[in-house]
Amino acid sequence: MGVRLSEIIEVHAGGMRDGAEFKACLPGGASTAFLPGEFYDIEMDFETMRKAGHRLGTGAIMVFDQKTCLVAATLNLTEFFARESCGWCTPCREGFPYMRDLLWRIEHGQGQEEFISILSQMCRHLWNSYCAFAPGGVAPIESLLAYFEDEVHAHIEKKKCPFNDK
Amino acid sequence: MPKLIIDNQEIDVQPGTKVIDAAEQLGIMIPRFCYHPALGSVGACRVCAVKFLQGPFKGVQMSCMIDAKDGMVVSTTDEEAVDFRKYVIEWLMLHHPHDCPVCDEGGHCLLQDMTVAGGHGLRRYQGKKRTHHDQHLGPLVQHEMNRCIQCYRCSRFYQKFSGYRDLGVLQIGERVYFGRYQAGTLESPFSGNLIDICPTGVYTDKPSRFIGRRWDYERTPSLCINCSLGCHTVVSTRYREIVRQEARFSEAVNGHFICDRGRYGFFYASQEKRPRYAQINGNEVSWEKSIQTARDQLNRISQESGPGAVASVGSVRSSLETQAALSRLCQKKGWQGPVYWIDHGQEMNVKTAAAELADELAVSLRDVEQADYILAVGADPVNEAPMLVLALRQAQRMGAKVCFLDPRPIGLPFSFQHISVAPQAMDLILAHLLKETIDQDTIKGLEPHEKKIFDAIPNNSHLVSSNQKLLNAVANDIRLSQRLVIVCGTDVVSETIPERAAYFARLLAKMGKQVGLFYLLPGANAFGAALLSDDAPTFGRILDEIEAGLVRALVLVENDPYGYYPDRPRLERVLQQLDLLLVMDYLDVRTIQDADVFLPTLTLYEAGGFFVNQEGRIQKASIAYQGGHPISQFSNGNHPPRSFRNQIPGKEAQPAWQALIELANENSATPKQGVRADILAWLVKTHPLFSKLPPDNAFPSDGIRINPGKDIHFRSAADRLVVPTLASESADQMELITVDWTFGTEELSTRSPHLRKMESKPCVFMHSNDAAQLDISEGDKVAVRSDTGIVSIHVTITDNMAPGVLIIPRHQRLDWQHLGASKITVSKDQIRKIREEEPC
Repeated sequence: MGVRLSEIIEVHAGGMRDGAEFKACLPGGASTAFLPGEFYDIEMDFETMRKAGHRLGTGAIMVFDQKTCLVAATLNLTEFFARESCGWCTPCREGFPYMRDLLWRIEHGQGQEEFISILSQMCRHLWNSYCAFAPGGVAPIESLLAYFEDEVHAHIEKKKCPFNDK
Repeated sequence: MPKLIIDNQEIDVQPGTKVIDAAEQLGIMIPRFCYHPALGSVGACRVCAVKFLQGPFKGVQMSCMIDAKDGMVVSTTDEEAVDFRKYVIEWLMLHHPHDCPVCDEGGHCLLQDMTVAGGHGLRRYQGKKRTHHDQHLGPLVQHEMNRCIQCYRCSRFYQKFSGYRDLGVLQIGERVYFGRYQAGTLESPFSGNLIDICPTGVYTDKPSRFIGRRWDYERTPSLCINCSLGCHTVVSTRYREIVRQEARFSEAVNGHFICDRGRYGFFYASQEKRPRYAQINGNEVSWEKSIQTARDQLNRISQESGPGAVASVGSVRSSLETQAALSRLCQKKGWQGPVYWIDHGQEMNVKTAAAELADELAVSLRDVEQADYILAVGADPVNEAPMLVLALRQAQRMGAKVCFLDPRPIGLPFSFQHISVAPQAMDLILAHLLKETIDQDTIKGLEPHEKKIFDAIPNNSHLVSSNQKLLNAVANDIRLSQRLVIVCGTDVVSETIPERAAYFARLLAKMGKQVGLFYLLPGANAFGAALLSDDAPTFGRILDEIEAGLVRALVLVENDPYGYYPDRPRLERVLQQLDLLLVMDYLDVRTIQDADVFLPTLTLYEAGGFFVNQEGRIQKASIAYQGGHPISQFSNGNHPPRSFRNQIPGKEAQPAWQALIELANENSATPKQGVRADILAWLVKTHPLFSKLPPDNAFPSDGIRINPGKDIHFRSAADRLVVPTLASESADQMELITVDWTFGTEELSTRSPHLRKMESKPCVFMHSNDAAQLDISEGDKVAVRSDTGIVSIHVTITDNMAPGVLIIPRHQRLDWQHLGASKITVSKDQIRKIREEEPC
């Protein structure tokens, strides 16, 4: 506990691959928020993370480099939550597929500016779900909009994924 | 009493009240889909979100999940909560089809109301709507799964509330599916309630599909008369025809639900075959002519042979008004009767039950739910009074144990104990159970006459010893319980049982227990008939007197002996001997063919009226519509007739009480106004019980309970209680009893074409031991020979019934009326296996 994120990546995990730069990571599994570069040296324990507005979660760290599209990554994660929702309560059962649809459209060049506000409102409302599954599941989307909103805008303006040259 | 503030209004509520209900008490209707008072809070739909501003909870919370507490300040109009609720509607509408114009729920759809109320009008979601396959769920319920909003009400009602397992929720997430593992007719006899509780159009009423919109219908509070419980219903009428019946909430009787027999049992009222015109000797004549002819002939016979030469038979399905008018007519003219029961044993059981049901012992159907132990004696709820099953289930869910003492193969959607003994042995077993249960102090404190009954109970017999372990366990459970209900049937039981059950209840009450007594009676107004019937004649004696030429005229009021009298050849013969057979009915009964004079009467829906249910509760049904041919039958379709007339075609029928009053009057110019008030006034004079009846416009929704107790003088079975009947010892003899079935035996509901599809084929139930002994296999056809005829019937073999007993449901498609009596003893050589093609 308390080991710095940078140390975990560089020392214990063998460092970034050649040519890859740290862009963000999920510090503790799919239900935690993206941790952008500014937290690269954060001490990985519950208290420090909580103070920084993040969660240590499961401690399963997933690192993304600068060539990775975080909209696509979030879409992938949301796909998972949409599939795994038990279906008991409305926000989770219907909210995740709805957000998956919006993220898919953004990623595939069909995004519209108002999608961003719908996404952010829906994330807030999914906190009113029956259990803690949905509040965890929206964490990647919330942090995508908080730290990487420009990337989302770029998708919408260019009507395509900027990481995909084709 | 928690005091809280909702939308700036202060309210005190009972502890345990949910915030959603507290708001409703203030007139604030918080939206809800999954929440239902009978099914409880589960917090699935999330549409009842409100904002908690002060108190133990903060922020947006579900108002159905939180108990009202002191100091709470709640806003239902807070911006965040409103926005969240709008999203919930949007989410639910993502996949809900926009098919309101062709959906049968449109117009009474909660989702439609909430979508409009929430202002969700523009679709933002650009994805596809998800679709599902629908299932065939039988003839009563239409399934359209695409409309589902996953409130889980159906599976919660079907499985948790009712205990049936064949419909529920499958899969997860977006793919959640509500239905059966395989398409097929729903097994629950309460399946129609899915239609009422579904907040949208997943389950809709199949028989009334596409007939009209809610606003096309005239909706009238009514009662169900398909059994003795008297559940509350709402009937929807269109163009002189009931098209739909739904449950109406009743605090005391049925709660929110009704059974399928009640829901779809109304079709008799608009049967094409329904007799609508008065007849003399089979020829249509005017009402006045019929009345005049009947009156003249009755007077003539009365003068020639004395008033005792006229006998009358009333009906347990008639309103109290009709029963009272018949009693008054008989008293005025000196006629014999009215007799209400074709089977005298059943008559004695009902009258004993009515007399024994003292006010302090009577409990309502809803009270049964509160019991912690229920002992049912000679009662088969699913078949005799289906809604009792749901009441028992609620008690069982709360931890109550349920025990049945009955020969029949009792089927219930929950676990229970079943002491299956032959009908003759039931009283002995019950008496033994009583002896095992009552403690010494109570026995010492008994009055001498009660002590005498107690002392007369014999000691162990072989019947008791073979059930000893189970009986000991039951007696022990009864001793440990605090709130008992004894349910007692009056159909298959011997004459001592209803009184024994009451005796048991009184003794348990002396032991300091809270005890309720709940009888089941045959017929919706059997209780009223017990109060108003004449004790002297019996139907059997009337037939004897007809044969002897002493009775020359018979008046049948809404009673068809062909349906109940167990010796059909004799009945046919005897009715032929009458000088006058006057029949009044609204059903196409067989006696109309034999009638010299026939008068068509009105149904409950057209005439309204009072009915007294099995707990002695007088309830009122309103008039739903004025009679006459339904338009659908009269002018080739639903369009009103294009030819104009000055009266409704087929409207000649009158309430039976009207006909009886016209018969009582000496001249034909009868005033038609105010006659019902006359009967009610007469009723009040007849018995002080009826003086409690409030005026029509102030009649309480849940009715008024009148329990005469011992002060009404029926023939008491008290002396007979001293010696319990002993079971037949012969292994060669079998007891044959005829019984009710949920679908197929009750005379009103069997006239429903939709319930006919729910009927099983007629059969005789036989214990597997007996079947093995007689070399009979499942499905074999047997001929049962009685003293008066032969009944040939297929065999159903089961293990959960009493050995040595044959059980035949009185199926309308079976001529069981050749058995000679409703209960007979047959020796095994009277049961013969026959080949299918062999004539019986």
